[in-house]
Amino acid sequence: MSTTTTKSAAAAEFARRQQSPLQKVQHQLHGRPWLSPLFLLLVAFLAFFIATPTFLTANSMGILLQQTAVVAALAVGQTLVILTAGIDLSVGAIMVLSMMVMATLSKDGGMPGVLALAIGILFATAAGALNGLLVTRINLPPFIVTLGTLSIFTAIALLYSGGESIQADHLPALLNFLGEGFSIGGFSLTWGIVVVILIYAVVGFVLAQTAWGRYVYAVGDDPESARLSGVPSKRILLAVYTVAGLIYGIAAWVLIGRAGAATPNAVPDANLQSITAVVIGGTSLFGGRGRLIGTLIGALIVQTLQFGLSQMGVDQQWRVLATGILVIVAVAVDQWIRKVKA
Amino acid sequence: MTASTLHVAHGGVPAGKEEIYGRDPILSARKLVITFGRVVGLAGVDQQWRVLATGVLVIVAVAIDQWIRKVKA
Repeated sequence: MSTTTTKSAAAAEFARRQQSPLQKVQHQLHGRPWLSPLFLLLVAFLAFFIATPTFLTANSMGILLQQTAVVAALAVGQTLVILTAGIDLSVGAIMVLSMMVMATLSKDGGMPGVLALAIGILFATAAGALNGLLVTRINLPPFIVTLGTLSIFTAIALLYSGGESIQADHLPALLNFLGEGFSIGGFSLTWGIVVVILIYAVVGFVLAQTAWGRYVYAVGDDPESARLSGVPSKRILLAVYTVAGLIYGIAAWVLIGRAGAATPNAVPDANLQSITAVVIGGTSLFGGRGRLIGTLIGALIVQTLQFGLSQMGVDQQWRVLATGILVIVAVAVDQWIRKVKA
Repeated sequence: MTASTLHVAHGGVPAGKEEIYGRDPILSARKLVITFGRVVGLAGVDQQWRVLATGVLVIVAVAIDQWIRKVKA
């Protein structure tokens, strides 16, 4: 037994020595998908620091973190869905619907903040569950389901709110609470950032340390093998979409605090930004591979790019263009890393 | 994006298989979508309701396609 182990270890060592430097990098990135986004983030920080020296001040970093909070929260739900080899195009629409439900119930319905918040989050959870039901019960592709519900939820949010924004001073204190801030060593942070960090901690723990988390990876890697191994694939998928909906609901609360208002046209490029964050973070669009820490780094990269270019005075259209290029490059790198398996 | 996907979905063409099925289904789907848009527009339906209806149409179209495939199998 020990002779066999020694031989296989020697064979692995021999194979490693045969690799070119590029193949070694490829191998490392395959084992640690978050390494390349971390490198990219450091490069982006350095580049923007050289271009605009005010970029790396405590004040700027505080603003960057506040801007990242909403996309980072959405990206958690998106990561769960993408890990199962799906995609969620309705992230932004669910968040906006949930936000308008919270705001309208409290302003027009005179509902207490706690109840409005709970119903808003419940709406988002139900919306996620609807996506999950359509994917698991009718076997529709996630792309088509969420494309359809993107239109449906967007329209419902506009119809329900009458297309009108609701300002923060018409909302109860609880709904605005996540926009309130505190300062640590010159960094101005908000409670929204704290909530998003908590979401990452909880979901990261569940994905890495629980059977449910391993099932999510298994379903994304090979649903048929997972099913044959006794994993309740459909139940896991339904749970993933439902939990994603719940997270979008919490993101809606963070957004109200961040924007200081509830508006049906908020964050129009939330879908693109959340998918970009996940893909840049090293999560494979083909499912079964990725880490939440990568998603957090990915969200930071997206916002660093937006914030840095904005500080440099680059036009909004160019920033969107840069984000699009980032997505394509990230997927190309992912394809290259996956070749290590072959 | 929704409209162009709907063309393919209503034509019964899975993504990436347009060449196998030929072009006719896509053309007929396009006609259907254009007709749908004109009828709804002529009826004076509000823009938001049209967006909602398009979303429902996407899901129903693909659901029917899935069902037809099951019957064939």
